[in-house]
Amino acid sequence: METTVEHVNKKKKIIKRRSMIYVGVLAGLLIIPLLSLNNFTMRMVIMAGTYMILAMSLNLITGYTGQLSLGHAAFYAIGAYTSAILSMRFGWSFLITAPAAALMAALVALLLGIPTLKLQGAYLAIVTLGFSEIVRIVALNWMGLTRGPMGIPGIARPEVLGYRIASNTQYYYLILALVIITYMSLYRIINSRLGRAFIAIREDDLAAQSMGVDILKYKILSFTIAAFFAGLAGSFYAHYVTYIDPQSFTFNESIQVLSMVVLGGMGSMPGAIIGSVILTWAPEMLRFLEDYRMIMYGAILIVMMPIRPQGILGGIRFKLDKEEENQHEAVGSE
Amino acid sequence: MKKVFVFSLLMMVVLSVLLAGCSTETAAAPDATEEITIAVAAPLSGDYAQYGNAFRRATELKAEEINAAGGILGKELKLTFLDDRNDAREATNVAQRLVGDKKVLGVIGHFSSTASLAASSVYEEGGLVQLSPTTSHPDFTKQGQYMFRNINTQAVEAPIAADMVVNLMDKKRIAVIYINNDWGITARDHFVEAAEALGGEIVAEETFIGGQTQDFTSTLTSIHSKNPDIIFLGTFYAETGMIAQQMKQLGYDYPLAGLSSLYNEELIKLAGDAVEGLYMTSNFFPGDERPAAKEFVDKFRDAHGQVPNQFAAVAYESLGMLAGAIETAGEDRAAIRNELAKIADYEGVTGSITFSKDRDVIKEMSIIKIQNGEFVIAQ
Repeated sequence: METTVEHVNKKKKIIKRRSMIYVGVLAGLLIIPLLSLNNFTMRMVIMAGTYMILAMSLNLITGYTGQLSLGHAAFYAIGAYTSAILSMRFGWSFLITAPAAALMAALVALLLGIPTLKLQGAYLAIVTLGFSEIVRIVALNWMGLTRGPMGIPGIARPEVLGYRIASNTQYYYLILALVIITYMSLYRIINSRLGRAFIAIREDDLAAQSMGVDILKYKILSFTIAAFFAGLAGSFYAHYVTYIDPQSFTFNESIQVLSMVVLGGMGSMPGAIIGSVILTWAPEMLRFLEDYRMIMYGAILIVMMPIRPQGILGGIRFKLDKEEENQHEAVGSE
Repeated sequence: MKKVFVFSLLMMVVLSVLLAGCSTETAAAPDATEEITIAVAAPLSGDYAQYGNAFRRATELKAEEINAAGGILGKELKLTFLDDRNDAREATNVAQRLVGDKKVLGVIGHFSSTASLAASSVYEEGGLVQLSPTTSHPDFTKQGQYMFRNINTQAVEAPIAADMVVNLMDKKRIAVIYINNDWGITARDHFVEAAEALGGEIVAEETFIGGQTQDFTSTLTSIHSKNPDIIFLGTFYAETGMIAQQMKQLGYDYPLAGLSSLYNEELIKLAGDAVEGLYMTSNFFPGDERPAAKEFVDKFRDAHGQVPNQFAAVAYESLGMLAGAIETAGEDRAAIRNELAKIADYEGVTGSITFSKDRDVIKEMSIIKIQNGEFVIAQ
């Protein structure tokens, strides 16, 4: 039986080690642009960052809450369009359009979630799939608002506190900030009462319900939070590429993000990050294979599944997390 | 334990493949002063691969010709092909890669408006010529100073088609069916405006989503109730085949007219009799008697055993123009852009080409029709 003093000391030690890791990783990420990487590499890093936000947010629904969503591109699209339209029509800056885009995506997810999240498994998958088609077709046909298939070209580059973001290095720091915000928020959520409710629903929804977890409410929450971050990613994409059209947000995009989550490991935040890095880079790195490029891409996924169905980092618990959990359990048992 | 082993082995294979990708790239970078590199960015895989392959075949043919004639600036012309899968995001990646590769002096591409527009901001920033043989979106060349196109926009083509319908075919009550994409919408807008100015009357307008709509019977019935003289199609050949056949099945017999997008042998294969008598505008027609066109068609047929389509034709002459600009300007991206902008009366396979000050082209068009199951010149 350890004393309270020992316990507190141990806890402090964990926190200290954890923050050292964070500071190290952050310092590493901050100096990436100083390595004088070429613009192409920087672009790939930035695109990987965008997909990290998408994959981490989808991971919240699919990996942690256990609800299969095939419509993540819809919220990505809503974010991109909201941001682009606000920026083009009203000249609002990125600091306003980005939160507005995220809130819009979250609002739509909330409205969609209330009637549909009572569904489970394949039924929910079909509903989200249908919804993402609806969003694409609305974007295609609501000419007055979205310019339909003409798309929206010339979206303003972001301005943050009077500082105009134009070079890839500047975009890198912006996406880094967004990725960190997303990671921290989702990390806090997952390791809270909320997160434990999500995981309970994933593990066994009946048991969760009998323990007093309001399943529907938590599913809607999970869905809405995930859509919020997907909208944020969409906003960044619109201001980065400066041209969007309905073609950029097809069903393929949802599948791409889902593959990242599954490859990296469902229910693992670092997994979602690694999955998005690999699947963003693979098509470019495999370019020398020419016609066999996309076959190789598919082969990576196929080979992966039988060997490691839980994904690269799925089911792996890091040493520090384990120790921290043990601590929690120890507190619980006292 | 075994699983861990297999897994780490797999990861090593994946990593080595990825790293191999890196190393071939960097190894190829230096030592190439004896070559002039032009990139061709197009959908070489995926749903649109046929168009990318038309680009590839035509530009390879032109590059062979140029090299046989001594190359550019006495150096060998080397083409590098990059696949964008017709995907906006991938197109921007390709663009960034090309902009960063100092050997690349110009780009022929991309195929669709989505890819071209998404990539344009990257090319503009990097100061690299983006000459698209096919992008007809009106905003494309407005994205910057480095964007060029070698195809008539609908602002040029649709009024010619309107003149064809109203004057040549002498039909006044017109029903329009158009595809709901950037191309279809601009085609419709310019056609309707020009046709009304010429004294035509638009009695019905119907649209559909490309690749999804298969059943046009309700569209056709609703058009039938308006009693038009003619149906004008702002569509591609695949839907046109369906529209024509379904019209026949419904027992209607309206004359059809369309745009250069319909010029494809597949149309006749798909629809047979149903498209007999269809009139259309055309950028490029293999039966063309002008020597430049004839020579191209013969060479292409020798090399690939088939007649080139219009996508091959515009890609072929795009490379010719870009190579010419490099010959005059030297190996300097900005100078190449300025030289290309000056091109006037270039004798291409689709006729004489001049860039306007907005880097758009205005080309002559011919009118062709389908007669006895073949495309023939109507005017």
